[in-house]
Amino acid sequence: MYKPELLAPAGDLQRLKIAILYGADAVFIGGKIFSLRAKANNFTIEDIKEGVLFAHQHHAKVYVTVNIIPEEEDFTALNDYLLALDEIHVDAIIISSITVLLIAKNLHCHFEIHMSTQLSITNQKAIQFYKNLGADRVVLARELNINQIREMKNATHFPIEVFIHGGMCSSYSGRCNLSNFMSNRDANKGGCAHSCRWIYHLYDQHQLLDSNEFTLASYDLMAVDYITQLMDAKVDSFKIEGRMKSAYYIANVVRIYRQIIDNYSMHQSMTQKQRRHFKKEILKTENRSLSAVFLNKNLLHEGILLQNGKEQPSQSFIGFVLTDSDSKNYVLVQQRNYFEVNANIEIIGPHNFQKSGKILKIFDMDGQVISVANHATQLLKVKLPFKVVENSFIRLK
Amino acid sequence: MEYIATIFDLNDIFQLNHANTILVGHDRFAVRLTKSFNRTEIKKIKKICDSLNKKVYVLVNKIFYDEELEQLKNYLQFLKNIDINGILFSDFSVFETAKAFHFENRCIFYHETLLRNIQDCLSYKKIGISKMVMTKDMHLNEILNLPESLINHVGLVVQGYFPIYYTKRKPLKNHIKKYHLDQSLLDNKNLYLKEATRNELYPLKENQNGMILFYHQPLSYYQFIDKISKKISFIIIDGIFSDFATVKKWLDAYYHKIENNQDIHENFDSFSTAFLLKKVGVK
Repeated sequence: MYKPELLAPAGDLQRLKIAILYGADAVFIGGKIFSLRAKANNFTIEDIKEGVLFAHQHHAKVYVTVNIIPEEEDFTALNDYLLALDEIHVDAIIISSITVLLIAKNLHCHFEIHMSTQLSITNQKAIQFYKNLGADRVVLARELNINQIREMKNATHFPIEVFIHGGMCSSYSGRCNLSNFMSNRDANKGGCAHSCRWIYHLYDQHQLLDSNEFTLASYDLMAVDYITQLMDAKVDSFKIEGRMKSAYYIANVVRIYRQIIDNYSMHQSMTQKQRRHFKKEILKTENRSLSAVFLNKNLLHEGILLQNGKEQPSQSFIGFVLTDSDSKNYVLVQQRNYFEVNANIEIIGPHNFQKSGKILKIFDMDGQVISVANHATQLLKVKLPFKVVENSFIRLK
Repeated sequence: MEYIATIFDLNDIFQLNHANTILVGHDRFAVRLTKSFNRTEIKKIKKICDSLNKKVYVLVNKIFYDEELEQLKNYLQFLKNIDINGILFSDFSVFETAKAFHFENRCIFYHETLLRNIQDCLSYKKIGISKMVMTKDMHLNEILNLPESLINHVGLVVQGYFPIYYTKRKPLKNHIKKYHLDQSLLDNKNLYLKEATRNELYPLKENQNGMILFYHQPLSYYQFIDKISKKISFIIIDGIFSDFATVKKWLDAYYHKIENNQDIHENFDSFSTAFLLKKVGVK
């Protein structure tokens, strides 16, 4: 049965491994040059090599973003960089500049070339253009609805990638200079200051029209309601946005979409109860308002933008499991938020592991019993009521 | 140098003596227009321009969706039939559609952000796009380093208000609805956004294609045009949020500066040079 690729973001090696362990078929990462998300840690060539090895051992792929809209000096090291990526067997690069495509072809690189969402590809003729240039895949603009995506796939039979989850540019991607002009930070080279999320007011000439906040910002995307339709449309790759997001976020979001895809692939149906469950699980790691946004063909203009949306940081993630359980169900945990002995918890782990219980005992690294874990990133020995594996996440229930 | 200017009315053409080319468009196929001209008007504009030995370029710079491609094809066919001299586009559907009836040689790439380095200009030329408008993000040094081989293929918007944000969304309509404001605001041509901590007022335009926000100051490369003009083959004077008198004033000013080295006296404090003189960072 057909299954789309589940493509996850990774800001560093730990997150790359987490994404794959939690079910991603491929990850996209940024190198030290030519990559958007300047604030993400980004990977050295050595990191990428290690990431590719890990991914390939787990039958997953690694795509490297080479998708800034470059200035002249950015090209200086490009040839060497592309050759280095090719040599370490990166599976694809994601690009915005056709010069990068032409150079990669000229260098006979073996990786695929994917055209970035920065190019705002919204129609089949634009797909044809990039296909003619030698592209292997296009990442569609996030402004398309489900019918338009289906028709584009039908008409072109060209590999397409669609965003299913994460932050949204409120402008057409790649066509925004707000950050450049308001903060001198280049959005098209990874420096976006998110100026579209700032507070604005509406004026008629120099006269304030009303005192209400004028919002440009978008809801974040959640496509749970559209996954089955996107699978029916034979979309090739489902992309989760968020190279700046935490390992916990990536683990949770990836595992839920993995479950949705596998479930629909096996049963060709998704019940309302399952749909509610998947949404509820995803919301455990979200602190911004979510919507299907443009995927909804009936979406009116109202409801697209944030309405008094304020980010609510979640403190439910309390610890990251660093070792497999020993024979007495003790694990080494890195503390992430306050928790106490007897706290009701839920643990998610690789391979769809999810189980609830209580924190039974806590020891510090000197072997002293403690009742409260309140030091950020403190290493602790924690007794749990069941066995878990390394790279699991503990959260309050 | 080819001098390209936007117009507000057909009669404007007769007064733009120094314009080689008139730039127009229809709002079904273009964004950022001084005025929308329908097919009949565009036909008339072409006739007038032919009689005055001027060229006509048509802005077709909207982002298109599949359901609009048939209309786009018809429109481009119409523009070919009346022998329009250039099509300014940003979505490659325009280029691909034009290819189908061998009209792609009239296509001029004009994107808000994509074309800001020499290598990409060379690449687009290599794949058959013979003319292109570089972005406002170009630094003066990069313009001055443009190779000889590109001079006849590249140009710049040198004067006028420029976009800094383009969304498919309708934030204005949304705001009006949410706060029960008067619907007539949608037709108000004098709307601005002001960020809460800043003093600048950013002009906006919203229609069926979405909303565009513009920088609060108009662009002007006038002070540097003597250097820039040696490296490019066309300049565009854009009259959006302005008027015909202003377009004519600047067209004449650029013409006399480039052709006769005659300066005008102007205080440039209220103009922007975008990123001509400064580099934008990432952190």
